Amino acid sequence: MTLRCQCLSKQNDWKGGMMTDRAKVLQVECAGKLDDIRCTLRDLHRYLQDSAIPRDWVEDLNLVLAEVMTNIARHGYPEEPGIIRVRLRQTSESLECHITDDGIAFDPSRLGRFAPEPAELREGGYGWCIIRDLTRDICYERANGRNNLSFSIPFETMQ
Amino acid sequence: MQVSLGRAGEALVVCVQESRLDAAVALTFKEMIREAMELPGSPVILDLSQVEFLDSSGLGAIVGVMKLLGPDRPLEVAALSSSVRKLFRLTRMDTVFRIHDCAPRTEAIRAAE
Repeated sequence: MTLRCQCLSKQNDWKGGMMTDRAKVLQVECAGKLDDIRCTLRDLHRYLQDSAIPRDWVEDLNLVLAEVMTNIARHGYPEEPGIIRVRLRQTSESLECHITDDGIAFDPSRLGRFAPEPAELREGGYGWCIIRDLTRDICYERANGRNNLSFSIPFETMQ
Repeated sequence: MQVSLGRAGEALVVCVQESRLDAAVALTFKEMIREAMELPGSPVILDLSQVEFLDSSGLGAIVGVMKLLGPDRPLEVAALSSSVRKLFRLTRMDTVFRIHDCAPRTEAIRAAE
């Protein structure tokens, strides 16, 4: 699969410290299938671990992206995996994330407002609650055949 | 993905040899644990010391294993990294699972078992 880890080869500044350059923008592309998402997020995690960004915050981002991208693979691209584009922009207060895909119209907030009761031992349904707990300003829109999801992870929420 | 098996007293200890327990490997993980469960021992302790990352799909698989084991054979988890522990807290699964701070010291399981 040629799209796998395209982020590494396509973005020359990936290895060189993208998040520390003047723009503080990182763009990642990956195929909307679970194996590719796994590979891409593992590489992103390694990259960000070596950056100046606090470790807890890197872990939160990794988890949120995993939940969002898994949702896209399952609901947006259930048959043919298209591309997922992730754009991260670091500001002094937060990290702004913008994720787009060309899959089936899919608003992740439809997945339910409330976290499952632990005692029910549900095997799914936690993803959206995790995203909501760890992010702010979540916004979904469908435009020109594309799903756009944006949110931010403020630095002050770090515990 | 690999798991290694050991004994700690009456407990069966399953050590997950994988750094990311995510959506891509959740089903494989569940199948491997299902096979491991055929060995006797209770409780079953899942040693997660090698797992640096867990997402909701991986957590769902762990919950699924707990259900497969049934009420008479509890599933417990051990040696959670800070991010894995945080996921347990966010989903309140820390109220359902007994969590051991450290992985138990184990004896190898003989091939004959």
